[in-house]
Amino acid sequence: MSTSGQGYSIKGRLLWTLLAPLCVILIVLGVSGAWLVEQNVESSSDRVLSGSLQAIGETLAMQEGFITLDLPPSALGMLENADRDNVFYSVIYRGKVITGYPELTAGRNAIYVDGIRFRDGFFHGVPIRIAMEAKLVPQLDAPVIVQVAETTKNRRALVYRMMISLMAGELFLLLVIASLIFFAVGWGLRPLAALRRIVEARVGQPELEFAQLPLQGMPQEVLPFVSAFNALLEHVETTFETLRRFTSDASHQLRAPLAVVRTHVELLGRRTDMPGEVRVSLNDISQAVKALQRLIVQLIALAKAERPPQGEPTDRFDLVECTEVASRACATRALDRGMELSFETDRDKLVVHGSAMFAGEMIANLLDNCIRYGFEKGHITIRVSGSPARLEIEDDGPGIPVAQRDRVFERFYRLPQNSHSEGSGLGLSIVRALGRRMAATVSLETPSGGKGIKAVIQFQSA
Amino acid sequence: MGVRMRLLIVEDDAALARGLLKAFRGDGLAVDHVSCGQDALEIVKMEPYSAIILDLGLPDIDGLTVLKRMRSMHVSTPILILTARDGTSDRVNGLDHGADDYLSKPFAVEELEARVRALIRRGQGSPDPILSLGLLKLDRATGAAYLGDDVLDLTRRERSVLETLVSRVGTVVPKPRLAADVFDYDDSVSPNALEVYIGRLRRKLEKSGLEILTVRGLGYLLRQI
Repeated sequence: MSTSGQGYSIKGRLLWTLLAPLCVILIVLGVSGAWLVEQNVESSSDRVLSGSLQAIGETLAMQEGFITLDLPPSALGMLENADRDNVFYSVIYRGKVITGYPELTAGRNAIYVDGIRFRDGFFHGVPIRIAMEAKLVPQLDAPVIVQVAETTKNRRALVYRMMISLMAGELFLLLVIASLIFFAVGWGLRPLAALRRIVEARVGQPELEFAQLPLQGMPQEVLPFVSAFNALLEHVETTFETLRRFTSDASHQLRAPLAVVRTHVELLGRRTDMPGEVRVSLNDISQAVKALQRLIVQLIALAKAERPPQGEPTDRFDLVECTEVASRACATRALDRGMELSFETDRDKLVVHGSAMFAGEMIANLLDNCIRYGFEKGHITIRVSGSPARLEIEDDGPGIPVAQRDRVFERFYRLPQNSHSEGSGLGLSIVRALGRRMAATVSLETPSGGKGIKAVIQFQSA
Repeated sequence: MGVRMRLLIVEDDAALARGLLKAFRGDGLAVDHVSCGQDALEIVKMEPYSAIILDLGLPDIDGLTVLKRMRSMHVSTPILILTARDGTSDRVNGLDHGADDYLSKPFAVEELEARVRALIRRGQGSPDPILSLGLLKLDRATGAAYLGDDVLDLTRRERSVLETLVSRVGTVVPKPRLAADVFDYDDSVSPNALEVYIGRLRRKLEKSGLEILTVRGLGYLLRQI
């Protein structure tokens, strides 16, 4: 089955309609998540920074007219981290750095109020976060400004890691949903695949099958389609049946005028007072009438054989006897062509399923082919063997090329070299159709001698 | 044949009827033709026919009905039915309703003639005691056999094998059927025994223009060369 064409995929559509909005949602979530992460990291890092600042600020004192600062190791130690951020501090009084890093000034708009202020800045071109507190020290008229700063490597790394986790989570979610959709659609469409297999199996069949498709197990969404398809099948079957009946009726109608022609042609042939050319014409007409008659007989036989098996009785018959009778009936024609006919079997009796009449007709058609297309003075061998029940009819004639062996079962198909002989091109179609009606299979093989053709019919043993 | 044989043809197709009339008149029979069932039923009451050819597809009454009515009128004339249908059910129906033979259209005129001749002979009750084929003549009444003017010397069993073969000339006669002619059924016969008789017959028929062919596995066939 070709999947090309203007079709679209339900999976694709579902994926698009669900995933596009989902992506938008995830982007919004990502952006707000990023903002939250940033906020949280900033505030928690700032809290540590302010702890450090306060620890320093607590130790500010006035001793003997000097501002003293006892820098506890823990004050800056709490700022240590895996990213090895640099930590700076400065103490400023009246705008002058009295201790610490002189580059860490108070900035332009230092506000001398209580409480801790944070700001961003640069230290030798590296971004830093600065915490600042204005401390009122007794005996001093101006507040002492204490600043602690750290580079922002750690914060950035933290934000980065959290963002990566967030993105990974979102991506994972996206993939899970996409694959769920994919599998859910596949699961939902599975009944359709089953339906397709049923229909495809019929496509392979040589005989059209019009049996209704099963409705049970079909999803509700598909039911109307299957019902409509079944209605179509029924319609096609009726049409097909009408056509088949037409073939049969038409063939019957053709017989009557043909009988007239044949009778008169044969009577004319008895006259002895005819010029030679008239006799030649008459002979041609007679041959043509016979060919036409054969064609009509075969058409009727085919129409009958292709009739759907309606409760065919599960008859059984003796294949040995049936083959003998059918072969004897054809023997004279074979002998007239100088052919040798022989029947071989190791059984006295072989009961198989089917109808002796159908089997006889199959054998007659196969033998007719051997006689018609085999070589003069050739050999025809008919064999019946049991378990599994098998009938073989082989000749040593021109054979059928392997590539053509399927095609010769088609109606009116003739091998190129036989296109001028008077066969109807229906014989093997009839054989196959009749075989099918009793579950017998027909195949063509190369005889063990390598020459000619061997038709093999496998019957169902009874 | 002392009395001229009368044949009735019931056929609605005028063109076919003309052909049949010509054929059977050429054979020396007195032939009447009617083209519908009603006429056929009328005429059989008046004329004693030796045989009737009845087409099943008649315009007024179905051929099978005509057949049934004739039989119920105690017309015992042998009847051959002709039909454009070839279904076996038709054949079985026809034969069940009292037809003696059956031929589907189109047919070979010769075959129809041969069958009608056979019907007429059967109707007369006494089959011709002389079987003849080419040069060969078998007198079933006396058991004598001749090839041309010469007496053909046959044993009883040879003659009975030959008789069977001649009466079925051109067809393959199964071995068991021939063996039954030659031997009593309870005799256990080796398959070769029959071949011995066939071999002898072949020698005796060497210059008769007849030959006995073996169809391996199927039987023997006698034919004219």
